[in-house]
Amino acid sequence: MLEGRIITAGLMLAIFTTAVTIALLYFPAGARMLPLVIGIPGVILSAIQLVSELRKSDSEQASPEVRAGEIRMIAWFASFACVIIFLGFTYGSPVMIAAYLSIRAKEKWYTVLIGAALVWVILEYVFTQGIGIVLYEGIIPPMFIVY
Amino acid sequence: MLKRMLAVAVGVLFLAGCQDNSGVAGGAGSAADENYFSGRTITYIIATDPGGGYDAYGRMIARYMQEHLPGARIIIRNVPGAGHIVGANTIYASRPDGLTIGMFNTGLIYNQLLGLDGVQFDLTRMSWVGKASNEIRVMLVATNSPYKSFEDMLAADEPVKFAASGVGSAAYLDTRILDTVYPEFDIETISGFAGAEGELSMMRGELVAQVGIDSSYHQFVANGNGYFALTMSQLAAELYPDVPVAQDYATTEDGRELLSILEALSDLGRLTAGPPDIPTDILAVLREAHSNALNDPDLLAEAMQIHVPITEGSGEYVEQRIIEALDQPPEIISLLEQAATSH
Amino acid sequence: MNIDIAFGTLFTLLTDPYLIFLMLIAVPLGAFFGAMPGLGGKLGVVLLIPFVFGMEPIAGAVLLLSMHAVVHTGGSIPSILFGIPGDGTSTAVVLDGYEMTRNGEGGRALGASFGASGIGGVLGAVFLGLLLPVLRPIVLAFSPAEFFLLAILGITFIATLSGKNVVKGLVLGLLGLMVAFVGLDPSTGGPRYTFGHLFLWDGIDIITAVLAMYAIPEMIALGSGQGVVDYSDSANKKYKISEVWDGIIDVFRHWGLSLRTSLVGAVIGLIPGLGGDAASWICYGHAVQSSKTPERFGKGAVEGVIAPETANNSKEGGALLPTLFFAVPGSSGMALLLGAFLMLGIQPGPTIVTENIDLVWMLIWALAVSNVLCVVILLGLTPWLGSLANVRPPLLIPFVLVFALLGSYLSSAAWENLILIFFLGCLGYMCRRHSWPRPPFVIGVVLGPVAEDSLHKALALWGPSFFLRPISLILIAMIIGSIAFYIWRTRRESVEVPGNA
Repeated sequence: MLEGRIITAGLMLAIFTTAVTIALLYFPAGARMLPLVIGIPGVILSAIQLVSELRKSDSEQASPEVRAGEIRMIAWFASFACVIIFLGFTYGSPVMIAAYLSIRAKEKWYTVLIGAALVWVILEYVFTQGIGIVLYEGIIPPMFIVY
Repeated sequence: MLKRMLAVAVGVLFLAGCQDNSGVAGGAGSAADENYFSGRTITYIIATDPGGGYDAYGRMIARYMQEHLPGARIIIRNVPGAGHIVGANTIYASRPDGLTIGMFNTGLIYNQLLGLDGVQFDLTRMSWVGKASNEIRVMLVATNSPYKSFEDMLAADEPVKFAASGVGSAAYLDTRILDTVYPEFDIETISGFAGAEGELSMMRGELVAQVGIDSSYHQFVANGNGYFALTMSQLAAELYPDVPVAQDYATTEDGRELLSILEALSDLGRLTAGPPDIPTDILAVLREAHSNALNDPDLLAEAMQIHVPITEGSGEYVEQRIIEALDQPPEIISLLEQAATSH
Repeated sequence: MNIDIAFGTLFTLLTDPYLIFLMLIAVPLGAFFGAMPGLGGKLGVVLLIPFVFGMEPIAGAVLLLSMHAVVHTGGSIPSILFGIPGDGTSTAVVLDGYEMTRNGEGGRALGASFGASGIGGVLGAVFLGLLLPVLRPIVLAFSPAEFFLLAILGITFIATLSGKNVVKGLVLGLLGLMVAFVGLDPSTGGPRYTFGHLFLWDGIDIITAVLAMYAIPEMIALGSGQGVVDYSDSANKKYKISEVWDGIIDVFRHWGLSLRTSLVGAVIGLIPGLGGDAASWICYGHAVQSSKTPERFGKGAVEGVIAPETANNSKEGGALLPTLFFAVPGSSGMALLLGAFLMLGIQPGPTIVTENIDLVWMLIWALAVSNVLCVVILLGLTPWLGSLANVRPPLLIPFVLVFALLGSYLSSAAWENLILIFFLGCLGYMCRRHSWPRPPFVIGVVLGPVAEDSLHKALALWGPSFFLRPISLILIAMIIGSIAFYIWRTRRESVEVPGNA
């Protein structure tokens, strides 16, 4: 299985190569100058790095628990983003905080409740009503609530 | 989600039948009066970040409109992005129930005329609530430059360096139009000057002039760093009696047509609009509130104190002018396209 | 410089209860707005403006300026305690400040940060006062050509800040620059790398990039069991005042550095168009370069906190100058203040020296005093701030994630940023995990736009010979010198390490 460090280096190379290709094919002359000046060395250097990573023998591997933990955290992060996109900040945040605290952190029920309530109070009373900025309402709430 | 709302708007249009001349379809026939807004929240969208001219006008207008709409609450929402395009798109796509209105740069007229990317609105179909100010386009020239008048510049043998904001922005296009209108005048437009960078560059002697809105240059002129060489609107005749007007120097019919766009832009400043097809009666309430707000002596006093010039115009007037401005013959549009892409 | 007016106004400021009261309101507000990622001082100023109507010009100006002056001081709090930068300028503080917290030296880091901010703010204000006579020629000496070269100078620090992983650092630095190119191209106005998305027309904003590179990876790491602070030691709940005081003394221990970075910060702030974000990075880079033990940086070196913090605050003093004297704002925050000053009836411009010099001095002192006040107030809070940092990870993580997402959204009011920060955040985590140095990326994102924009203007104004201007040549020499110094130093180190051929 490919180690993370190789994937990272490979990803960098992929990003630069894509960027340079787009610049060469689609950008007009003036717009492409600096992206190429920066991008081409980027391709070269990231290729060098990738080769160097491939050559390195198997250095310290992360323990499987850490690996699993990483994937879990990234999944949680994705859930936070998705739920907030759908429910908006004011409703999505308490939901996710409650979810995280109860499912992942396995906190007691009152901690979960206090945490969710706390974030709701801050978002609603400090931000929305206090400072007066409109927080993203999400996709679903506006269908039901008229603001 | 935005597409969904656009679909709703189109559906309402379809159900409403033929459009009348005012461009607003008869709505569901609700007997709305001032009490329609009572207990409701109106969102006033400002197409820029907080701070800055549009934000200042928008917040002030919203505050006073709220006073003239008993029972209503108006909240501000900043929707910046893509040079006011995101804000305008957002307003255009919102529910046409009169609860969302907002302000954006009138320069978006150019974007629509030229069919530029990102435009998801049709200004001729928006429900125009009113205008708050004139934005007279002027040519600001540095006092440390060799040109002491517009005629000096016309007579120059070398290209004259002008500062402009980003390529494709309204100020950039204003400058390019000037270059096109006066064939003997060679303007070298250097883009990328945001905010006051152009003025600084003029002070350093790198550039000679720039085209922009008169009210943003008053400090500069008062400090002796520049003067107005030209104005681009007949409206300016009273304000700046000693400054020549662009129209007087236009030699071709096409030139005059192009200048009429600048004239329209100068006239239509700080506009408030809502999405298309707001029911006529609701729109009438909004227009009246806007008009009352802008004629409110308190607002006028506050505006004077904060140096924010006010010239009120009704929603009907704005709508008419917008439709005129966007009704350009194909030759003019192709001239504009040429102007936009040259340097 | 009229000594009477200079010190007379200071006396007035310190003894007028109304002005003191205003500053006492403004300072905590400013610190709060600075501490919340995504909010920023500009929003705070905008919200205060309606309250300022009808105030005496001096009072209103003092209120607004005091609030604005301490925004960056507030911004260092989450940077140090949680590794979450409030904005681009606070990221430099994260590098060493957060490491100090992880080493159990959080109190000292906070003390150093507050002390440095205070000193930087005061020195920036003093600098302002001293430069009054020679202002115009200095400000006018810097043109797009010099901005470009200054940006390049900052970019050369990418190499310095890569530590041992030079190639990785360079790649990330170049990536940061590429990210800066997303958006509309200055020369043609056409969109680059936006893939048809309107929200990318203005580029990837710095707060999203910075939160994705620092806040998110820290939380992922924390949540996957990669330990941070030793939480078993519950006696460590509050920071002792002695630790914090130690940090403040550090600022004076490194007085040379503090002085230099305050000066550099003020000069960079003075030059409108460069952008203050560059100041903290250039000063951080300078601290690394001028240290005899550069390897300590990135692991909790207190100089790494002092340098950017002094610069962050002194640059506001610098930025005030062109705002007051030319009516040309030195930064975007100053643009707001300029508008507010006009509303209050203050007329910025050359005449302000002759007609309103007492106002000028009052503002200079307000800058200095508000910085000092901020330090005092925050000092009082520090023990409790410490207990914030010691919150157990499981409780902390979801809150940080929410506020990071919030900060990213607020910075450009675009929900699409939430998707962007997810992908960038994963990339940031991979960098953290596999030792790809992240500071170069931030430098690229911060300096990239300035560099390209200035290059475009410089070429348009003068053509390729733009760098033959006198100050430009000096800057080129500095750039070459900086690179040469770096190479020499690396050579020296590799020679000294035994066994390296």
